[in-house]
Amino acid sequence: MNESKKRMVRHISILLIIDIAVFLFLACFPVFANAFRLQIMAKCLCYIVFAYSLDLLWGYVGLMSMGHAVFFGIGAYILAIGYSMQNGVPSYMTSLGYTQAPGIYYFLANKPVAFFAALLVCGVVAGILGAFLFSKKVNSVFFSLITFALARVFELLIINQQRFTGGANGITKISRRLFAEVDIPQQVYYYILLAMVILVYLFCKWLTSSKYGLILEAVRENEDRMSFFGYHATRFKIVIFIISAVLAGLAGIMFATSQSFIGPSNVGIAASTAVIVWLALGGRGNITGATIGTLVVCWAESIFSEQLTDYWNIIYGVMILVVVFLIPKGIIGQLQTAVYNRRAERVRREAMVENKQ
Amino acid sequence: MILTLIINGLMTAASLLLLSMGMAIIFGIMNVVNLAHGELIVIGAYVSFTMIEILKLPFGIAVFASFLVTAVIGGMIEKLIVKKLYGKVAETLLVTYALSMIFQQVIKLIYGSGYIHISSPVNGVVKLGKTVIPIYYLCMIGVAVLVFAVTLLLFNKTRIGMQIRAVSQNRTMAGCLGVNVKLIDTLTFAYGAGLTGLAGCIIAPINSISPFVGSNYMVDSFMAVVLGGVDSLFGSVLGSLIMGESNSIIGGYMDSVFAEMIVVFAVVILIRFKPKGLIVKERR
Amino acid sequence: MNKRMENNVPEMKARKNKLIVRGLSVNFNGFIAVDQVDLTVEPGETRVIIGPNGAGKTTLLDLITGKTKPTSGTIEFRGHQLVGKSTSEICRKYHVGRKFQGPNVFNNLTVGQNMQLAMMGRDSQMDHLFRRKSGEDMDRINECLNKVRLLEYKDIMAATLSHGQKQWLEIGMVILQEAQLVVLDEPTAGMTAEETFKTGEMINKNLKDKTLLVIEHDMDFVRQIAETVTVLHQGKILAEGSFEEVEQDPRVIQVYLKQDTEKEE
Repeated sequence: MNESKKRMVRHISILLIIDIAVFLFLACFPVFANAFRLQIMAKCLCYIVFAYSLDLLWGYVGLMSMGHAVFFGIGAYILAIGYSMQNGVPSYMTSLGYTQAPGIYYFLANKPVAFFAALLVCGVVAGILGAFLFSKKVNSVFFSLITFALARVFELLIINQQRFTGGANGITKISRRLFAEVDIPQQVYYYILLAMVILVYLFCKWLTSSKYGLILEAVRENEDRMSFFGYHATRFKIVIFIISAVLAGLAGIMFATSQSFIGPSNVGIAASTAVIVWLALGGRGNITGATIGTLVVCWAESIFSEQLTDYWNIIYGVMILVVVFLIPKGIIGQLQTAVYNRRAERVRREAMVENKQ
Repeated sequence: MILTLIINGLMTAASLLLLSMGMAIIFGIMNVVNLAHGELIVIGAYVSFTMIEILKLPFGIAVFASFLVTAVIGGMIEKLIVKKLYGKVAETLLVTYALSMIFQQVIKLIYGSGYIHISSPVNGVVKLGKTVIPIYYLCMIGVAVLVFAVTLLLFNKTRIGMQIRAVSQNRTMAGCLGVNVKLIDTLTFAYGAGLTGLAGCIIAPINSISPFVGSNYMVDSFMAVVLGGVDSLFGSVLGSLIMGESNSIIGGYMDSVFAEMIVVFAVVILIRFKPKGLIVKERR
Repeated sequence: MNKRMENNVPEMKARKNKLIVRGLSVNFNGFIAVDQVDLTVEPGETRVIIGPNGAGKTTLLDLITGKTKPTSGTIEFRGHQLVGKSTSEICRKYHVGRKFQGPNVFNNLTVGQNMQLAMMGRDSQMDHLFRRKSGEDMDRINECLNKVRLLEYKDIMAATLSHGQKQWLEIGMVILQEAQLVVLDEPTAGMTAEETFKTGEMINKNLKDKTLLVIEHDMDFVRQIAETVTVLHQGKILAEGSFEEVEQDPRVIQVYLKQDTEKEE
């Protein structure tokens, strides 16, 4: 009994060691990186939070949202609109020649209001969607496809409503300050982002290691069985969808402020599927995989697409095929399985010996 | 005004039916979500572009060629990739998305990223009161009806159609009864893909086509299929009609993007109350 | 575990755990699967339902657990009407537990996690979020795993268990769920004779104080656990009584014999 407990500890700690190593590396990164690389890494940090948010939903509950960038976008856009308010009108509207902004925009001029409104709207939208999509026996394929369609429509809407959203050009020159009155230097902001990543990481670890996390996994494994133990599986799905959407919104906020830019290409199908690929590569259902997958793909993208712009999408597509067929559980998932198999083999051997005695 | 919108809606519905027919077969009958559906449409359009504008061949040959090329591509996708992932939803979605990216990029490398123009084989218009209807649109409605009728006949009256339905209802049993299940899978997928390419060829002269427009068509076809009901081919007819008309009528009074949004939300609400779409087959 | 049960379910309350089914029918598009069934199971009674394939046994359990809605009739447990309530409500509020035909467990979770899920199904969401797993919980899980002979397997995935072990895991989960009405659908399906006997012992030892409703085909097993036997045939109740009475009943013999001769043909 004690033996197996010890083994559990060792098994968990492998992931923990990887996490700590990665965070230490991220903390040291500004020391040896130039401003350009640091900016890319700052983007990665935002994407890591984005990946965590989908990992909770897809990895733990098995709901593959193919439009998660919608929440990323809602968060980023609401904040960007608020931060670009100058004299009651967002700056991009002024440059388009409009002098009147919709009434609701006035409230967003207050920075904390914009910040929390962004998160709130994400949660509310997810709650309403969840109430409709999870209530009856709606096939999980439909969830994926409807979110996919939403991502498409949201992207079109952003491009189409240039007056309110800046259109295809997106919103630029978003100030790099959170609630402060002056711009925060790039290096300091990097550490603020890193602190946010670690906070979200701790939250995800806490949630998934609680009884709640276990229930989420059980919903993924066998939703129908849950009700016979008295669980309302639907409620768990809605709650986790809301949490996941709020985290995605937070990632959007981090992105908009650190990159000083948000555009339609960051909120559509491409962005939504990108995060799925990070998780597939890193391994889903364990927070560590999200970190690793995001870092690997983002850096591969920024290095390769500089040199092989035309071929990057093909490399990307082939990479997905390789992941699905060769490492279907992702890097960390494969590692976990290997560790587990050794343990299971030992348990089975011990049980056999015991039965013989 | 309203009459024009209704007639326009009918045209949109016909093109939607053409576009979604392949998906109704691949998604509805085989239960496979093909995210490369839009790219198959685009491939069909580019094949017809090659035939008509580069090789200067007649339109009829282009239609035939686009069906054949996409059917072969579809068959290869099924044989090499999708076959290994039956029942694995997330993996299928990922892989078909990867294929769609590869197709996009390959098309872009061959033809460039600009829009292509294909001249319409029939010109001229019919006037109905104030409404002007290009003859090509009428032909398109004809083709849509024809394709639908042929598919229905194929599935309901032929030996192979019976085998396809048998496999979709009970694979193991069909296999035991001597049906070559693997071959039927490949053929069904290839036929669905072929129809999709054919649709791409038909709509190419009246739509702007570039390597990157696939996902629009993918989303539209998916909506039409889900709205009508995935179980039945008639479902996609109904779905296309509703979507075509509502897009046209709402789009007439408002922005077309809003029309699309309303349709998406309508589907979200509908699916809550009718998870299998409007037309449901009675089952125990 | 026992202490907790004694506190929660005093003698008086236990007597209320009575299942009363009246005039229950369900009609699937013209096919009447269950037809005017009346059934009364006394508190603490072990009732076994037997009957040929297609007699409507599993459907009856589906109706009681709210998985299927009846066309007409009432189901009353502890004085509450179960018809029209959702499955999760029936299992949460009225303490009904079910084991499925063919193991239905959480394959990619460990045996211990499976047990834990069964144990905390009736807790609130706040408890799930903020209450950590206590030592007492662990003890209960270990104790129950010991009863179903799976203690060594606690940390391995349910998927890697053998068929019979999965059945035992599910029985263990139902025990830990502390339901007052326990419904078992063929608990010994696919087991060897020895395993079947052990299962019977498990049920007799750990679930005897509950109101038990069991579907079974294995007649030795039925003899081992049953207090009363109900025979279901074509959706209707054919006979009811002790195992010996039912065994002697000419109608029951005819139904089973007829089936046997059909099989031979």
